[in-house]
Amino acid sequence: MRFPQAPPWQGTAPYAVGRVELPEGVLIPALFTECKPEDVKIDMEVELALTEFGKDEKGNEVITFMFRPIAGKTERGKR
Amino acid sequence: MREVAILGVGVHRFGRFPDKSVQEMGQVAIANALDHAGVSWKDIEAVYAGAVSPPAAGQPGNQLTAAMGATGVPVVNIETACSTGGTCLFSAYHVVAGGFYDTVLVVGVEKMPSGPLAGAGDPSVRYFERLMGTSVPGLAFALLAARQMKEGRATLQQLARISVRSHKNASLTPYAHYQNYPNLTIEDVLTSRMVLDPLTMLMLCPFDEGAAGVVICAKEVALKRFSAKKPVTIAAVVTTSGTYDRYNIILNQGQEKRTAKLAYEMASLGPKDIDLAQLEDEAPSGEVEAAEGLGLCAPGEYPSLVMNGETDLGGRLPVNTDGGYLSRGNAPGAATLASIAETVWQLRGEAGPRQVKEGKAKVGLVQGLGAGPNCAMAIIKR
Repeated sequence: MRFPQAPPWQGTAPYAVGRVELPEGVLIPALFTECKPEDVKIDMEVELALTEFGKDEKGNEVITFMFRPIAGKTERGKR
Repeated sequence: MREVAILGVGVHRFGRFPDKSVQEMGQVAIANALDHAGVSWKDIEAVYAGAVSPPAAGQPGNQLTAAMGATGVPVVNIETACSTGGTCLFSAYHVVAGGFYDTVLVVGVEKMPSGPLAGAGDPSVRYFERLMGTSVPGLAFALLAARQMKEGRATLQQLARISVRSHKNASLTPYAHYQNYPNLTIEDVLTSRMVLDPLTMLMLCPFDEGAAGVVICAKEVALKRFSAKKPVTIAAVVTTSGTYDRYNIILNQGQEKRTAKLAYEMASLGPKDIDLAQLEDEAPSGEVEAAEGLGLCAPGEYPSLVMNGETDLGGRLPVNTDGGYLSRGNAPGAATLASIAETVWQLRGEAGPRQVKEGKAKVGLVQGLGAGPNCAMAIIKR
């Protein structure tokens, strides 16, 4: 996504969104960290990265789930 | 069950109308539909109305009925995101087919705020998704496009060609939002501003203001009371919600196929009988998915049909003849009904410069998707 979003969005644009498939088959729409948006590719292997992300309505720091590429692994078989 | 005719249709142009109220736009669509149908406001026995976002979403049917003249008729307000109009028609159809009411108005109206949407009208978008921006409109179609390209089901050029045709058709449509791009090239589409990779500005629909109205009537009543001459009829109208799936609020796996099966069975028709189709093309990837999911061609075949001109106005299967969601525009409450209206004009040979098959088309298909997921489909025949 190249453009900022409507409130309460607190990210920075551009950013990458993908659906991450867990080993159990669940798909999670998620953001990515420790890589550039253009480096996020279909079928890339990723792992969970708990990340600080903005503040909630009461000003508390929010920790959310993101995913980061697993070093050295770029692609796996098609699902 | 009685046969149900569509007596008349009317649309208020889609686009941006800062000086017009919900009531003003709705009244234009209703008045045009009544006029086209040859009936008066007093003939309307019930109103099924749809809208997705405020201010239209505050009881649209009540707002518009009050504006037209408070006749005290039943009003039903409906919302299923971008397929709202299809769900309104589905609901109204049954009270007419079932013999409870003869003449019913179906109307959709919308006045979407400009700028980025915060998952408007979609209760399934949770706070943390809004915070992170993981559920923005168009995203599902961008991911779908990336997936289609990765799997070799479509190329970027083929997807862009859909935008070229869409804008050409919209340039011939007086009620379309975008009428200024009759001669785009694939390169123009691909070099327009990148929004949601791989989708550029010209590959994404605008969220609009606008309205559309459809007057339906029991066919026997239409012929006798309103002296209708060969009215088009509703061969099928169905809508589905999601089944348990891994995650997809826009469309879950196989939903288009599942919806199409119901519609074809209800109509006793098959995909080979379809002469023209209005498909939900919030982005070209959605049109590819719809066409193949509804069985209008073999899986993987649609992009080549597009490249060969088969889906153009002069082609074998004209698609989105008014420009569709992509360039006619997407006023969510009214969009599917505008696609119904376009189909009715095409089947009646009234579509002017964008008329297909010299007015000889007999069966038209309309499909709409709404976040939820919801999928509506109608088959109209003459």
